[in-house]
Amino acid sequence: MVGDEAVRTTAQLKDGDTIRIDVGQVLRCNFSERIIEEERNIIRTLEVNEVTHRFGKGEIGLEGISFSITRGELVCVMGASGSGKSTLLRVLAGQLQPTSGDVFLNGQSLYQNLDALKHYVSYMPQQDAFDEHLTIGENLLFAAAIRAPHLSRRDRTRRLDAKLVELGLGERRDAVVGSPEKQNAERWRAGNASTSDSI
Amino acid sequence: MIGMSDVYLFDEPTSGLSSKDSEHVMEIIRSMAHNKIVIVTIHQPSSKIFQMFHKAILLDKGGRLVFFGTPSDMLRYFAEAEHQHQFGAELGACPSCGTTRPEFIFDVLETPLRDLSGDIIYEENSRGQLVASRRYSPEFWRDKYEAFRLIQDVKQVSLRQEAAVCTLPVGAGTEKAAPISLAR
Repeated sequence: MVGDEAVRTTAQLKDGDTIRIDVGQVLRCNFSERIIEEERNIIRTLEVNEVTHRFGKGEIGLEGISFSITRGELVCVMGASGSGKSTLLRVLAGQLQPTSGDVFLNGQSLYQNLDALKHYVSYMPQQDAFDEHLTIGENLLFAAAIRAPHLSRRDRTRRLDAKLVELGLGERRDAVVGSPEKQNAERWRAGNASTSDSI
Repeated sequence: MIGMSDVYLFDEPTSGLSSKDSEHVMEIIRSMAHNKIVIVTIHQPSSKIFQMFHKAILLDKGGRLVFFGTPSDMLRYFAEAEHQHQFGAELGACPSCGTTRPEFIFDVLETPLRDLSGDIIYEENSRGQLVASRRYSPEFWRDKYEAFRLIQDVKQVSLRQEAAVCTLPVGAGTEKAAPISLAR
């Protein structure tokens, strides 16, 4: 499998393409960094079991919610404001322990194994977590510096460049985030969870 | 180290964007979703974006789960609900017509309460604003969905039992019937 297409003989590979070996094992072509990286994916299922959350004042955030999701699924949470969409996401992210019920990753309780499991989850909150006076490149470099202080500045910059190319933002790295082309800022935002977490 | 996470959660990544930009952002998120679990909250998705998802979760006021399933199942469910309760022709959908507008779901969910002359009845919300009273409460929708889910579970069990009877010597023990969860 290359991307979403099954390949029998040969296929042309572009930067950022993925080659699927197994359900949980993928190779990602990262030619700008001159490497092919292996990605493994461990989490098969996410299960929410009777999750109820009440805020301090007795206000109900979530009431007895259960569902389960398997890998490869793209899921939308809809609802009017105040219906608990953000609360649900924070519970799934491991940031808000529900009053009762639990979240299970591969059948293991998220809140009982929070230290081990939280690394598998990336959460992009609603507030814009970037400085709109800085450029896209500067913002990401800043996020990377906080998350990966052990890497040298050169290493961080190199990884960043590769990620920007992958997101189609290569030529926009010096653009100020708050510039009129908000779409690109948003595209960056979409990529942020993967970039800043993984650099 | 790149791509370590297996589960991605996005809170309103398309809020404040034009429909075209929203679609673009969703395309990027979808391309990341490959082989992972990705959950995105969207206040009210456009029809095109709604159809991009494999599954959708619908929450109603007070954090009540009122539907979980594929987008087309959700539309069918609410079209049928509207039909069943004869919510008034102005919403204009029937199960056979097959609407694709996710807005329709909210129209059904938030069907206003009307008095005899057909005027909408208003009530004051917690912030003192006047809002249309709802004909069907979030509890109604939650209970309705739980009943629906229970029926689906029972159907599935009986289907599997039928299948198991046909292939008993081979299939025995390989497949367990889904447990019926009687939540309330």
